[in-house]
Amino acid sequence: MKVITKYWHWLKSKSKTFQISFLIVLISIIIAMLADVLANDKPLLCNCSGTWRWPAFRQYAENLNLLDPTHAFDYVSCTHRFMPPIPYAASSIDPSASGYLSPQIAWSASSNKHWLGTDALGRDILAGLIHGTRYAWVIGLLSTMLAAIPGIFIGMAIGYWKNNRLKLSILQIILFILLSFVLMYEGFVLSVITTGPLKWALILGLFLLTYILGRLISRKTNDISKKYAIPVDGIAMRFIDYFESFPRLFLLMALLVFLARPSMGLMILLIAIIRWPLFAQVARSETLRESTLNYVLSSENIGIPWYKILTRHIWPNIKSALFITALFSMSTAILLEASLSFIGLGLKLERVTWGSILNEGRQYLPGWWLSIFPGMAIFLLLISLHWILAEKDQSDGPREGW
Amino acid sequence: MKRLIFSRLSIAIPLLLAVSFTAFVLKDILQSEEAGSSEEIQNRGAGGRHSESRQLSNFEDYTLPLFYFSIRPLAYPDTLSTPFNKIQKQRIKNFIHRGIGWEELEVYLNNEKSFLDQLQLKGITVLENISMSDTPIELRSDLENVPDSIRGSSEFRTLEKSIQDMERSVNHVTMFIPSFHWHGASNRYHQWLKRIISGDWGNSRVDYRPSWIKIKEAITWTLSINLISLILVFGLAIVIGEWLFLHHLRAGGKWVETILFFIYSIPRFFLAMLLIQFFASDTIHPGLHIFPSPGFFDSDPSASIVTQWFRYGTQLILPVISIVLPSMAYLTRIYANKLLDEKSKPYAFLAWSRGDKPGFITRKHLRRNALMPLVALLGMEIPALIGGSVVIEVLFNLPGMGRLMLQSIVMQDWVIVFNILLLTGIFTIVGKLISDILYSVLDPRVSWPKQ
Repeated sequence: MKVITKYWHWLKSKSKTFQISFLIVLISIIIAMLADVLANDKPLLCNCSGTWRWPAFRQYAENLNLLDPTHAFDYVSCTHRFMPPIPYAASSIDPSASGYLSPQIAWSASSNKHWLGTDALGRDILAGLIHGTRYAWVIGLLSTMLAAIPGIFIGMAIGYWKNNRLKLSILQIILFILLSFVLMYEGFVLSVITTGPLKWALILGLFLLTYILGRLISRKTNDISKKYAIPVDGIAMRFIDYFESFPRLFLLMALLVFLARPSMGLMILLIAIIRWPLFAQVARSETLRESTLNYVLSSENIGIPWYKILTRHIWPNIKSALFITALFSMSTAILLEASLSFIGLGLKLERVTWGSILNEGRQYLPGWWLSIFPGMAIFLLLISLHWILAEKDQSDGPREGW
Repeated sequence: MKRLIFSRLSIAIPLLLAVSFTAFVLKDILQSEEAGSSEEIQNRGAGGRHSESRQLSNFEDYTLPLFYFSIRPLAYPDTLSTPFNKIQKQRIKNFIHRGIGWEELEVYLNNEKSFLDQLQLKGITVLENISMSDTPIELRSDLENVPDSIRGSSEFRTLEKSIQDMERSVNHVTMFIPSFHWHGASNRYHQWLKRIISGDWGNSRVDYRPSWIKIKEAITWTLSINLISLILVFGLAIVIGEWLFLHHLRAGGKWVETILFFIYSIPRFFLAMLLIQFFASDTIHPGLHIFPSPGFFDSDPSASIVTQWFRYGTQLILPVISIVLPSMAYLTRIYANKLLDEKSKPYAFLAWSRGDKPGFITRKHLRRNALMPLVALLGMEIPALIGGSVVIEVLFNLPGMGRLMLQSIVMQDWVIVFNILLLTGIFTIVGKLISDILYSVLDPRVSWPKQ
């Protein structure tokens, strides 16, 4: 209770636009989490010849291999059926409503419950929107996290070491190059010629070996006697330049050729690969700025090791900027997936996302409900995220006029 | 200045090479897979080193190696880099992964082939699955099915002997020793790059036209639309941004700011859909149907671009609007914020205390300084515009690069797909180069030598 009042006061202290957008984001998260309860073609609870059953929740147990999917019961004959508010799943086809049923017609017919109309096959648009919310959040959150972790690591490292601070002796450099080549090669060979659990054990062992050898070689990296500085910043920036030198959508389209109609995981991975340079750039510039400040210089002088400086001193000061980047990146990830689905290169066909509904609207222009409603959903989520971002940005107060 | 251009070029040229290599490798993976499964190569079989250097009609010369050098296990033969029959290739790899030497394996494979030929002549089909086995033990168990009449033949004995040789030659170490091979200029990438530079970009698989001509037709549309959009974006951003800056504390300024925020958050495709629903169809109201519906767009390649613009101009208004508005809103906000930053600096305060009017100060003093981040963003905005126009081109059915790319992906026309990828990469790099140089022209401080 105390926590709730605390957050209530925090929310009340914010501006009205922030409150509204925060609520929209919160509601969309709740919809995403409860998608199966809100829109499902199976009853939530029903009485099957004396026993009460929960068909809508059975799929979770089936996915976790707790129940055998072949023993599914026929709930159509059951009595006392409690249906979800929208009695259609995203991909369940209603043959009586096929052929682009518009909302006006759906509302005038008393037996139909397609509040926002249907598409060519008779799939309910509202159910599609609700399940699309889930896909949007999963893709947005996971791809951002997947992009942020390597991006922030690399960005902080190159921002701290720059071009002239990681000093090694010539022997160390040669050993590093040789070791990385040999380990990469042997890892590749091992992954090709072995199979099963042995393969993963060997690769894990190789990683451990890399770590131990790397630690042994890289001891006392900031020693003055080490002459040669490694331009980590320059090397990593060239890498980032390379990733940035394709228009994002074209690169995604070209990569999607290799995994036509990818699964969710692959799509998330693909978007993360495209998006990590952004995090690296932000983390790098923030770390560069912080590492010239006195508190970092003095903590270096009293001998605090670099990893403690990075994690305990620099990280708390740059994390808010990175949080803003993450919010922004989430909105672009959602937009990227929607654009790909929109031009027809998105997820597997049975997955109904906002972009795939829009794609149907593109192919059937008189069906305005196919483009307006999912478009509004994307727009609302994006503008709320952008508004939260703008509020975070303008924390240093309003500016004066002339 | 010279130093700056030189340093930027020294970054851009390796990047161009890396981008070209990426486009080439992606194309090569798909095409060599197709070449490996094409009948011509399947019939060729897996014999000998560099057995036939025959050019396949529609493909690269796949008997050449991929790149200038290669690093592969010592145990691998040269021929594995060329795509002969995929299944056979995997079988050879499986043999080698179990430590069998290539010399012995080659002898065995030739013996097996002649033995099977002999069996076929006699009409015996007991050994059909021997070509699936990839260990000596499996081979031996396969050979047990052979009828006694053949066991005595010399071919059978040489076959058994070559299996024994293979078992004796097992050596697990050679897989773990890397061997470095230098191929020089006779590799696929070099040949491909040479052709790209000389202007031969390959032919489309769909209609056999040169891909360069197809891309050129598409690119004139994309570039002209994007150029007009770019000019409009920057012009509008400067005008609206300065107005917003001068009025940002008044009610009108607040409203404009909010509207800009809304426009910035609308996805391009949704904005375009809304415009189509309102102004290019009868859905909302027949009276609003001002612009022609998308989808009836046929371009006439023989006519010049100017006449085409006059003919299809009304079809291009909505696409240009939906490309311009979101970018414009974004840049306007940045420009207005930058103007506010500049206003707080001493030189602006001095001009103000001298009695200059705000509008005059903005035009005379602030504009040039505040335009800097916009010029830096120009380099970022060009790929964003090209990328963003994919969706618009597909939606409005414009014959631009994005639509061509999508059509080629659907048609599996890899030459066009990866040539477009290469071209957009080149555009991006050149755009960044130009914006860097422009930046240093506008702001001489950039090219100062480092301390």
